[in-house]
Amino acid sequence: MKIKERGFFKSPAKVSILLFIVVELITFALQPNVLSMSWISLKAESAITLMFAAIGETFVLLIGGIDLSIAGVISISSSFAAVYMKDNLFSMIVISLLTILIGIVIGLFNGFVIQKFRVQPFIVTFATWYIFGGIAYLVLPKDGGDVPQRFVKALTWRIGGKFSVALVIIIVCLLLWVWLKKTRIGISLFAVGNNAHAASLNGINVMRTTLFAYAASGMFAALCGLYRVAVTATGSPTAGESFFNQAISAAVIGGTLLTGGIGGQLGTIIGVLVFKAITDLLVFAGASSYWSTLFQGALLVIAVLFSTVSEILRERKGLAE
Amino acid sequence: MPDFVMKNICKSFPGVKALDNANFNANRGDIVALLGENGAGKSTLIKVLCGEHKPDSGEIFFEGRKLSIHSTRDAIEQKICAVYQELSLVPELTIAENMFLGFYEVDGLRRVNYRKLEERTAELFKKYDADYLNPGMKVKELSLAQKQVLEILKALNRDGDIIVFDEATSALSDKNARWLMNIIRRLAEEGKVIIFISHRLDEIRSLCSRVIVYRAGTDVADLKIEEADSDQLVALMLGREIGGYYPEKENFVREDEVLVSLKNVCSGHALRNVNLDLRAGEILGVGGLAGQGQSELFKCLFGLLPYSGEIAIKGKVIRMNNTATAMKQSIALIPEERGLQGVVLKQSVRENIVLASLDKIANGLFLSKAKESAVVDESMKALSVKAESPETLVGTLSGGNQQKVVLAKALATEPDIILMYDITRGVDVGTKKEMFNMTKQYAKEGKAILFYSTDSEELVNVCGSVVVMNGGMIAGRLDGDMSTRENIIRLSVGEDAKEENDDEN
Repeated sequence: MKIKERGFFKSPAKVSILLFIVVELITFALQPNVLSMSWISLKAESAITLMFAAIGETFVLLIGGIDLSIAGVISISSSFAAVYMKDNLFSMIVISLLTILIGIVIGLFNGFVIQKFRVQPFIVTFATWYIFGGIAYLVLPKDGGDVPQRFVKALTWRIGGKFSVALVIIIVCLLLWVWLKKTRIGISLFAVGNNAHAASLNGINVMRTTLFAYAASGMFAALCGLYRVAVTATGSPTAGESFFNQAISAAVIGGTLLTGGIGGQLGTIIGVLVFKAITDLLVFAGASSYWSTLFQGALLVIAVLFSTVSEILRERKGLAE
Repeated sequence: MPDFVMKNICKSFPGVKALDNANFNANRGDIVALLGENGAGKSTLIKVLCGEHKPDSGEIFFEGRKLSIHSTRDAIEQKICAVYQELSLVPELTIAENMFLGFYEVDGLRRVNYRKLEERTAELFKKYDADYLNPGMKVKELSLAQKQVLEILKALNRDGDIIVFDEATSALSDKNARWLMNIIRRLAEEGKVIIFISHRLDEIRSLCSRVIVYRAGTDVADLKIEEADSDQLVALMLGREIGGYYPEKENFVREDEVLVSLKNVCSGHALRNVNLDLRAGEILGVGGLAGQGQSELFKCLFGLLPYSGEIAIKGKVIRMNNTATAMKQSIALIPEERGLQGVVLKQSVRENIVLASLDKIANGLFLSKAKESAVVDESMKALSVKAESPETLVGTLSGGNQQKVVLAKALATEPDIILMYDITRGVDVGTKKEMFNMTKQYAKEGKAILFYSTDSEELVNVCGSVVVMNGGMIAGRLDGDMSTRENIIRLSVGEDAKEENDDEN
């Protein structure tokens, strides 16, 4: 007896996988000898900040919410880490953990207010975005800060000269997701996003699931801010602003629905890769950065159309046979 | 003291006292019917029992022990489970995942143990003769009737001591309803407490040992089933006597005025070569076992389903591509699953009623307030919608009144062709009666009505003729005296209709 639906065509990530293959084929056609371990490591490094932001956002989208506050969390964590981190191991660890904790606490706050007082996620997270975006300016009025070199080196280290830390982290995230997806909390995320009332009738704790999703979002946003500090070697009170749109776009390209209940991190990670690869292609082609914004928008539309059209076609086909 | 007691339960919502010192009791092995009009407090009582609502006051005892139920999980863990009328399934999860939702066994890595899930689901389906369901299928792919079967199986899987069946038979075919009744009897023999909510008196009579009647938030009678005759029960529920349940049948059919004509309409496996004529003034019933293409037939006519073949409206062939086309042809659909398809729960009665007829109340670019309130007042009065004002949110009304808003909305478009899809599902007798009268009134006005119901008694008593569907085809048409419950059943199971000499039933 078949217990789980499998297969490529039923995966919500199918559109992004196809897009990814197409984009990479074009890349390799234009740059035949580019593929190497260090090239992959480089790609992972350039993608990892957006990937953190998008992974966090995906948790919230899965339960049918939205988290705008990731922009604020990324800004505050970037400023905080850049200002307070000293060049010794103890400080680096403590400040990193504190930064992550800030993200989690903001997430828990969002989740609690949204679920307890039934306020729309858009409003709550919009408010926390502005609050913490504002605090970020108080912590660090303009780009800068004194980022310890060893922190930068640690996170941009190449293991054995080839594997970047970022690549390892991405693989770990993927494995964690594969595990989480089929745990109780993992299934609860889908159940709550799909039909929260039904989930609660079955004894699923909707509050706990909501808190989990928003806390995860806050945590990954904080990781994004932290990693951005290492990759750019500076802190920035406006670090988060470009991430919010891109994170949602990447998740949607990856097949996660804004209405909740469908999607996942595999799609999101590939969505980020597609996003980055297209930007790289445009840079390679010598197009200005305006073009990349335009293409990113177009990509989003195409991805959404693709997934809805294929769904409609599947339904029609099922009925017309 | 009986094994299971709910005592002096009170529960108020803003503006409504839903339960007012309500009581309920049952012994192990009892099947107790909970009867009452919509809005009498049955649902609230069940929601209190299942941890969905916190009561303002009152106590619940089981076997002398006081239960404290603070959440749905508490209720399930204390062996209270319910088959919900509105279904508690998650469409995107598989059948097996739904069966154990919230209570998964996990392996060493804290991941759900799919092997066990599979085994136990298969075991359960086998035990209850439901192995036609594939545990790996997603719930969204099931029909409403199958979902209801699954909802029942899920509750059985929880192995409760107290099991609530809230309108569990309302979407089931006769065959599945019998299957469920047998299961319920079996559970009672095993010593479970069964609470059975239904609007079908015959069902209650054949199944239950006692009946507790609710009215206006409290229990008004507790009778042995042998002592309760139908008229008395109906009177207790309504607090007033009602006359004949169905309006007298009259023939308003205008033979030469065919409003709808279907020729060889097909849609996938669901509809095969359907030919059908519907005339002005006709109430044509659609019957048969559940899931034989009735829902697809209605969807085709309302532009919700792609089809091949021809649909002609008033003699003109029309391609029904979408609902706007259908509405332009003066067709109105009154759908099943009212919470999902029929009304916007978070909008007011007024907004819902005018939703489908905005162009009728528009003055150029703007909506005319005067026309709007005329339409709303008229519809609310015609259907006697019980709401404090047109501004009341539909979500706060009782089920029967929500259904009336669905009707009012459809009828405010002034349609010539009305598609009624199981409109009385989960509706109390008083409202049913009003709906039947109204249906008759519309036929008299020359409208054509296609009337589907899962209740064959309704078809026989409301409709002039009945077509019976079987496997996506029209198995036969029953006119006049041929239209009996027996003939509907015969046609549904593939037999021929017979002329009846003796009395109906």
